[in-house]
Parts: sequence; structure tokens; C-alpha cells
Amino acid sequence: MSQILKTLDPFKKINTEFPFASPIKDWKKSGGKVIGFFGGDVPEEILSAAGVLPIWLRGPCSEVPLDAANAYLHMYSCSHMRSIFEIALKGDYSYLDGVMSTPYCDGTRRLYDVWERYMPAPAMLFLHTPHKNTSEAEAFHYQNIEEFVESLERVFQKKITDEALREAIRTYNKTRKLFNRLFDLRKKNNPPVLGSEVIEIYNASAMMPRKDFNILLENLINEAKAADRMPNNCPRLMINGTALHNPEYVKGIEDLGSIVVADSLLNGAMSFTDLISEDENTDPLLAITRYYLNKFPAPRMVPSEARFNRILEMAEQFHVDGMITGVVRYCAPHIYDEIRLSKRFEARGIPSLRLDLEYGMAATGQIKTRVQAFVEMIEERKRKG
Amino acid sequence: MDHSLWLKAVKNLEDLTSHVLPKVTSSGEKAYYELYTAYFQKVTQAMTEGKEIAAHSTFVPPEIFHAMDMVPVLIVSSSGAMTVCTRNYKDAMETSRGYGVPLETCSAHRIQLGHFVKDWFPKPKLIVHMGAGCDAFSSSGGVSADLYDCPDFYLDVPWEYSERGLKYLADEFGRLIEFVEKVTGRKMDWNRLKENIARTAEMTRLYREIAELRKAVPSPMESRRAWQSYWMYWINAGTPEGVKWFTIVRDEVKGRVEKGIGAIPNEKLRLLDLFMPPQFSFRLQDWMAKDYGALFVNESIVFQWGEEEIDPSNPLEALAMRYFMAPMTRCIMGSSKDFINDSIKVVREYKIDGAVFWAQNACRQSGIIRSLKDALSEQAGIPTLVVDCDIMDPTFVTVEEMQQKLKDFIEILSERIVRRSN
Repeated sequence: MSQILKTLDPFKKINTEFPFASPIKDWKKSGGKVIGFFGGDVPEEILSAAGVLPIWLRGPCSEVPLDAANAYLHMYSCSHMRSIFEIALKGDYSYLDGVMSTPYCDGTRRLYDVWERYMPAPAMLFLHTPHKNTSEAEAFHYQNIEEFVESLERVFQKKITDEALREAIRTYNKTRKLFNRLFDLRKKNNPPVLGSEVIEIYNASAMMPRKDFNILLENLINEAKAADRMPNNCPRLMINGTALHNPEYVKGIEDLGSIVVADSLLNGAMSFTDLISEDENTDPLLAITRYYLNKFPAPRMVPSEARFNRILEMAEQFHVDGMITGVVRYCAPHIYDEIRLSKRFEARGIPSLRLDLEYGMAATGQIKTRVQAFVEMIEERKRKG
Repeated sequence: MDHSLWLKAVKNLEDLTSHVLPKVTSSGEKAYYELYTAYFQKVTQAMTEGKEIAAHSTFVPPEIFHAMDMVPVLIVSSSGAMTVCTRNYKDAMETSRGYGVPLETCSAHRIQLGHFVKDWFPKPKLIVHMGAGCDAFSSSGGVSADLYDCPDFYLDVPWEYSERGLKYLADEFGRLIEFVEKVTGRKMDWNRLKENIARTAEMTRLYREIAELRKAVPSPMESRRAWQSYWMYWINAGTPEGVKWFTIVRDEVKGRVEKGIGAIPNEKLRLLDLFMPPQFSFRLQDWMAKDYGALFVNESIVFQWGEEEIDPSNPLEALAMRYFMAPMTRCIMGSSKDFINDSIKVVREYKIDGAVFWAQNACRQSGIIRSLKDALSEQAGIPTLVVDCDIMDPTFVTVEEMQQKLKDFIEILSERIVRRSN
């Protein structure tokens, strides 16, 4: 790589301040409220419209002992959820004014339960999200969301207006539009951004006000557009699987002679690709409802074929040579998703590799060996044409 | 298709039933062997006669398929039963592992997929799965449908009971019926569905009556009968066989209560079962009862019904209401508060001495253990033993290891009782 992206530094700085980064501190200092959430279908736009800063909770970017969390959550709750709770139990999430979740998976459901029982935040919020996007599911979810808005208004003593919702939609859509520009750059033959760098950007997006984040992301895109960093013709990989926050994991994969050009991660493309309708004639709550049921589908959504087709389309658009799925142990939704998805990739002649991980792991040891063999196999295929 | 394993399993089950029946004295135990065998015989008959089979996950209402003249077969529990009957655990689990299903998911679903990879499971016309129970439940049905290249329908389930959720689920059942009609060309016989649901309401009434009768001291029902009842409810929902089962069990239990006799001769400890024990054998429970007079007198996860009634006149809403009120679904869906509060209530009403949580390998419902354990200790004053085990894999933990843990716990409970009486 011939050039370093200087505009990546602010993202990295924020990430080193995890879990109480300076933008959150500044928000709190100015009297703002913060809600931490887990589960990928929390409508952040509504929280934002209520004047609250939504923070997407995660664990540290490394594999850490989970002694405290293990006392509350059995090891069969995935290490992703236990890592979040480990931080909470240490008091490092004590700045939160509220905690929110959805029944995204068994892990989020049970983490919410223990959080509520053992260390309830001033506000504990839960929102049901259907698994389908039928018109009946839309009507059902719209009512769920209306009820959620009312509870939020009660908790924070603030009316959530349509105008505030529209403003939040515009802000969050701007993030998505910017990410789409970044993703477009990754489709190029010599993508100017590494996959590991994109993870840094994702991580920072979860820990700061979106308006500020958008400025940083726009700066980065402008620099990246003009950069001439990647030489090469190395294997282009897509990463998939359980939410992933450790850039070192991706860096480890890229250090072995590949480049990660795309992802279908919950904390990545799944959340930053599609847009909410900004149509002034559409009820903003309805627009939000539709978005969360119809956006890039997570493994929990059915029919699964919509998700598989979406990922396969991405693989084509990004000229992907292989897919690596990292499944955090006991993450049942991704275990079953990977089985079905990998067979569809193989049917298209795109090889795939599943790595069984613990949350926060880097690409070291056995993982490195397996990735290396996978990358070499792809190179060999490419050579043979 | 390779039906040899299924046929062998049913034959083994028939042989076991003929072997056991002459020795059985309990009318409930006798009925279990007869009705359980009959369920699989019906599926076998459908296979040989070319009748259309509907494969479905637990909690999907079989009443719907009966009313459309199809033969329903439970996916995960039937695969499991076939493996228990043929003892092909290793083959089934290695097959699914070879297909890419890792050890970090429940063995019941690993076995299920082993059966589908090998084409052992009867070929259904359609598969219906449901977002109830756990993530593995809701995800494994899709893999089965892929493997059999079979049309499938996913029933979306609301997070917890509400008027709105009831309507949504009732509508989902309506869409399921449309799906079955489209795939099979059959028409729903609504009168028949109402009749089936009337039987379900009767089964539910009897189930609740049995639960009330079990409060008696000594307990009138064997531990294994509770889990048999749970399975019989879901395999025979809406059928005369289902009503027959619950009537026989109720009569036997009621008779014992009236005579003041217990299910075991010398009841010493009354236990609460908090989660699914290993399903490949109930000998562990028999051993606890026989050697230590320790009996599970309630299983809050499968023996605590919600209060609302099922009204057969509105069939789809009745099925939705049953889903929300039924044990298991109301415990493991929604907030854990209901499960915890139910369990505390059970401890008080059934005079429980201690609780056992079976921590099943890879089961993410185990996230509830600490909360349950603390709540039972703080609010109901009883200790809880956590036994690590596997729902379908007998090699994961040996019976001896589980026995040792249970034995130590029984000793602690016995000492507590002695201290209390002093």
C-alpha cells in the first residue's frame, strides 16, 4: 500500500476511547441522554428524534476474559453478548440513560433479561420486530413502533414530532448514502480502502452523533477517491457472519495477500446500504416501519432467499472471489444461515470458508492457517482462469 | 428416499411396546406406549399409501393438517424418536456434521438434519416451521426444506401475548392455510377444524386439571408422565387419541388422589423440573424416584398453562390463544419474567423442596439460569441444581456423572428438610 489515509485517524481515535468515547462524553456534558442498544433492528432514527444519542453496544476489539459476565450468562449465550455484559458489569456502560433491545436472537433476548434484572438502566426499552415483511407484518409493526414512540415520549418527557423524525431520517440516510459512495469505491479494481479500515469506520459510527460522523466520513471518501493505494490483483473477499468489530481480524485476513472488498455484516452493509423513504407525503413512522422490515435482510428474516439473493448480487457487483464467514460459537442464526448461503455460493463457483470464532478474536493461529490455505486456493483458481 | 431406517425404528418401537405392555401396571404408561407407537404407525401407513404428509415443527398446530386430511409429522421430535429407537446417534450426528452443522448447536436439530441429509425422514408434501422456541427451531426448518427441495412456510410469532399479537398470529394461521391449499389443492374443512379445536380445548382442560391434581401430597403422577403428556399434547392435538390420553392420565391421577396414594411408595423430596431433561431416556428420573424418593412434581416449563380459555367457535384465534397460553411457548418466548414468576408460584403451590435446571449443550435458553436460580432462592427459598447435559446425545455427559450431581443435591435437600423439622 503506497499511501496512508489521514482522514481515517479521527475514526481510530474515537475507537481507542471505547467504550466512553469523547463524542459521547461531550454529548453527556451538554446534558444529552444516551441509550445503548443491541440487536440490529432498533430504529435509531426514532431515538435520535427524541433527542437521544443512540449507541450500538459492543464488546472490546479483542478476546477478553468474561469472568464477570459468565456468572450471569451461561457460556451458551454467545461471547458477543457476554462481552457486552462484561463491560456493563465493570461499570463502563454506567453512563447509559437507557438500554434497548429487540428479540433479534436468543442472545439479545436473554442479555436484555439479565440486564433488566441485575443492573437496570433508568430506562429499559424493548421493541418487537416481526420476521416477515408482509403487509400484515407492516401493519403489526407500525403499531409496535407507535407504542414504542409513546413509551419513549413518556420516559424522556419529550414529544417526538414528524419534523424531528424527518430530520433524523435525512441524517441517517446521509450516512447510508455516504457509505454507498464508499462501497462503490470498493467495487473498483484497486479499491482505495481496506476492509480492516472499513471496520474502524463502522465502529466509530456507533459511538458518536451521526451529523458529526457524516462529516468525518465525507472527508474520508474525498481523500480515498483521490488516493492511489492498492497495486494489485489479489483475491477479493467478502466477509459475512456474526457482527464483527475487531479490525485486526480483517487485517489478519488481508495481510495474507487478499483484500476484503465487501461484507454482509449486521454492523456493516446490512445497516448502511438501503435508504428510508424521504417522501414528504409519507408518514415518517410508516417509512421507518417499512425500512426496518424491508432493508437488507438479516438471517432472522424470512423468506431467507431474499437475503441469499441480495448477498449473491453483492458478490457479483464487488467481483468477489471468495467468501469468509465468521460465526461466533453458539450463534445459531448464522450457523444455519452459513450452511445455506455457502451452498449457494459454491453453486455459483465462489468458494467459501467458515471460521468458528469467539467474539473479538483476531486472525491468528489456526484461523490464519485456514485463511492462508483459502487465499492460496483462490489464487490458484485465478491463475488457472 | 431411504425409508429403511424409519421402518426399522417403527418396528423396534412396536417390538418394545409388545414387550413392555404386559409388564406395565399404570394405565397412563400403557396408553403412552400404545398411542406413541400408533402415531408413527400412522405416518408409516401414509408413506406406504402415498397419502400427503405435512412435516411441521413443534407448536405448529397439527389440527390444521388433520382438518385438511393430511398426515402431520413433527420434524425434530420424530427424527429424535427414530434415532432413539435405532440408537443411530453417531451416524445421524456425524452426517449433519459432515453437512456443515457444527457441534455448537443443539443435538436435536443436528439429528434432525442428519435424517434429512440421508433421506431417512418421510418425504413431506410441505414443511411448516415456526419462529417459536429458539433460533435453532426457526432456522433448521429452512435447511430441511432446502435438503428435500420442498415448499415451506414460516409462521411468524409475536414476541409476547397482546391483543394485537393474538390477531397477527391468527392471521398467520390463516396464511398458513392458504399456503397449504395452494400447494396441495386441498380445501380447508372449517367444520372439521372447529371439531378438532374443540378436542384441543378438552385436552387443554384435562391438562390443567391434571396440573391441579398434582398439587396433592404425595404426588399422584410419575415424573416421566409429565414429559410424555407434553409430547402427546403436541403430536395428538385435536385428535380423539389426544383426548383419550389426557382422560386416562387424569383418571389415574385423580384415582390416586382420592385414595391418598402417591405415584411412588415413599415420597421424600418434591422437586421442580425447570427445563427439558435429556430426552433419550427417562431412566434418570425413575432412578431418583426409586432410590431416593425424589419426584418431580411439576415442570414449570411444560405444566403451567396461562389462564385464558380456548374458544373453538373462532378457530384461528383459538389456535393463536392456545399458542400464547401453552406451557413452553409462554416460558421461552417473551420476557423471562413470566417463566420466573410461574416457577415461584409453582414452588409455593406444589410444596417444592428444590429445583433442577437441565443445562442442555448449546441451548441458548440457558441464559435464563442465573435469573431463575436467584429468584427461586430469594423469593421462594429453595436451591437449584444445574445439571450440564445434552438433550439427545448420550455421549456428551455420562449418566453416572449426572447421577452423582443429583445424588449430592438430594443429600443437601434431605439435610435441609431435617434441619427444618428440628
